[in-house]
Amino acid sequence: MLQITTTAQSGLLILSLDGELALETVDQFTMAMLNTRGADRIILDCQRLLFVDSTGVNAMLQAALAWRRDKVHVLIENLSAELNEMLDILGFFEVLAQ
Amino acid sequence: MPRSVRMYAWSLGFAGISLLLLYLPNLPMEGLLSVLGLAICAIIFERFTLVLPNRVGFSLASIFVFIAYADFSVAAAFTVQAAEAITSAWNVKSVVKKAFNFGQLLLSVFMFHLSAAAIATAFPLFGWRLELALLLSGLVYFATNIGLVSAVIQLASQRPLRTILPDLLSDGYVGVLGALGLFIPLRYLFSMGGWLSLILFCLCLLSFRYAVNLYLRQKQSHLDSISQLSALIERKTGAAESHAARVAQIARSVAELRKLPPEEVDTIYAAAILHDIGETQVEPRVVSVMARGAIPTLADEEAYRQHPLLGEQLVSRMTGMGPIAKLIRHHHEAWDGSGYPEGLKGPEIPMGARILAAAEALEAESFTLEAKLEAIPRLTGTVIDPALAISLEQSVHKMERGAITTESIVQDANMTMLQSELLQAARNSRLLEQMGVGRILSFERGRFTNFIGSAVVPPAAEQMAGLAAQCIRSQLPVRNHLVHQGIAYDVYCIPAGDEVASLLFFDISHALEVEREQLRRIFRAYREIMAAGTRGKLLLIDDEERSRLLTAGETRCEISLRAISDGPAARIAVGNVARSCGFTQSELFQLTVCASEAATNVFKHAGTGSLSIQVTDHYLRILVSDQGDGIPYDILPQAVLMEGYSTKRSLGKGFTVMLRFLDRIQLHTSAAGTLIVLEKQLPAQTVPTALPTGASG
Repeated sequence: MLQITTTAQSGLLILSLDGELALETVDQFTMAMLNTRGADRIILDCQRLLFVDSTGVNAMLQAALAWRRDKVHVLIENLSAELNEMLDILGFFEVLAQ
Repeated sequence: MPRSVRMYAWSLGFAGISLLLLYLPNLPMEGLLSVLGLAICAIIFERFTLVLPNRVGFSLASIFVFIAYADFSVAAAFTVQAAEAITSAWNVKSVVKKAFNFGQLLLSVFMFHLSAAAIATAFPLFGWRLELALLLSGLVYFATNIGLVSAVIQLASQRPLRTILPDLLSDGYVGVLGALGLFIPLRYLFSMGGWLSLILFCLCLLSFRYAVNLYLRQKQSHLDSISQLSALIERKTGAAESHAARVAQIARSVAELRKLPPEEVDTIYAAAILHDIGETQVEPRVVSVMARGAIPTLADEEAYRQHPLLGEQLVSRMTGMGPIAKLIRHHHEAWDGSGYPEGLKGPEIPMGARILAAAEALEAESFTLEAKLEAIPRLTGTVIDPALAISLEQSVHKMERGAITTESIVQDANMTMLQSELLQAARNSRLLEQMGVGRILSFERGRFTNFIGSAVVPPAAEQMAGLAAQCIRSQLPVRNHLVHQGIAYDVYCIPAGDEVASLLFFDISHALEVEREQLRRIFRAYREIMAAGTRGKLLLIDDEERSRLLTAGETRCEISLRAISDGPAARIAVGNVARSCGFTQSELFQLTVCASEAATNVFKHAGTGSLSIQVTDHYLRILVSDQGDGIPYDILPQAVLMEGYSTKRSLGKGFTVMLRFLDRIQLHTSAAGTLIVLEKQLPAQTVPTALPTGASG
């Protein structure tokens, strides 16, 4: 299950992810990302994100790449050690650094 | 069927119908029953053709047409002929053939009538003159018949008429003479004695027919038994399969070309079938040496040279086989006297034995037509009687039409490199080499015969008969695989007539084994590649190992993966079991991720599957299986080892993650589905505790 809470304040959008980002919730995540048009900066708060697999990481990566194309500044915060390792193994940071 | 043939047949058909409609109204009502009776007789004798002991058969149906003409009217003759023509072609599926048959017979009657009318106009017909006129008209009837049939053969085959007519005449002259010869006495019987005499005479003819058929069936049964005995001998002595049958075919063909009496032809044929029976009494080692073409010792050669005498002794013990035994005795004599066992020379050798010796010598040459034709002049005068040379050449040409060998693939000097390579690949192919030699059989009226007409019983006879019957019914080629006594056959049936099917079947057991071995090799190669590419972490397993895995260890949990909404339940179950096994939080996360990756693969590639968790002495195992199409071997290395490779829209890094987090992965995949076993070594000194039964499938 995944709950996405959106907080907007003057061009900044904070998306708090609560739950698991996997095959059964990626569509929900993708829909939520489509609703972030217009923001200049986005913060993905992963404090309550308990689980993500490669499908979830792929969804996050696609969203990040789309934001970068739209010249939106993105920050991912409060990643747990396990999530950080997952993103690292799957080359998330490497792709975004290119 | 060429258009010209169809048009010709339809033209004749319409002409026949026109003639019938022209004359039928003139059929008088009185005598109608007699005419119908003659029609029934014609139909019966068309169905039950008369066969002579020399196997020449002919139909007497035309006699009743002539009687109807002579004693009633031309309309009666047309009626009888039409009835016979319709019933004789009743089972013929082709409408064109029916039309041709109908038309050509009625036109023949018309010509008979014209001829009789012309003779009657020219000469007063009474007494013997009337009979003579009828006989001459009968000749015109048959001449018309032969002419119309020749024309359709010429149209269909484009052969010149001068080659067609002699064949038809030689096949049909007995029937013409028989019909005309029986017509006069039968007509007299009918005229003088009425229906009773006619019926009695017909019954005599049918009894004669029955007796001859019985005799011929007994004779054929006798020859079939000899053929089966020959096949047993070949298996015992290790001789090439069908060697005796091929020698017999050549010998029979030569004997028939030399117009020998049918009895003598059959004797020569039987002797050819059994000519090597004496080898069963010779030491197998000696027979093997001679068969291989190795150089025998003098003692071995002397022992082998006894086999014609031994064969004669064996065969002469059977009743009625004296003449056959004599030919077997002399089948290794040579025209120039250099043969054995008696060294007979020239005309001292019985004709049958000379034919047998020539056939045997020729069959020992290569399979190719060229080699055989080259051998005939070389052996003539030494082994072969010079008088037989031409007949031997003609026989070899006839046999060649059925022969298929690798040597007969002609090497064209202009063959491209690709064609040469293909040919070479065919010759080097182990798979093709393992294909068992095909056999060609005919199936007619519930009986199988080989290419020389001998009855045979093929393997899986009942099933083959079923296939052949289906082929005949549908008049379409049929193919199937059959298994009989542990041997697999690839069987092709092709319709060869209204009631005949040709069968070609191969023993494919060895080829299948070669294919299975190739698949095993491919599996072993991929297994080693995968293990090398993952430093032993990924192991491809076979069916046996899969079965062992499924029953090893204690199953803690089973989850059905019916929909993607089952994913969370699977992760919870894995987490619970892993926690009870003492894994750290980080390891729990890793195991959960791996289970999720495996489950995701199931949902994306197979739709549904299942997940179970086992705990063994050393491992926690997560088994995820599905019944999808499997991972084809040719993309397996990319799918598993190549980061970013995916056949679906995804990151393509599922296996990357699993290989990183786990100690070992075992993978079984086939067209029936995939099983992936994710293994993590249990923490040291862990005593797994039992869980409350939470999620279950």
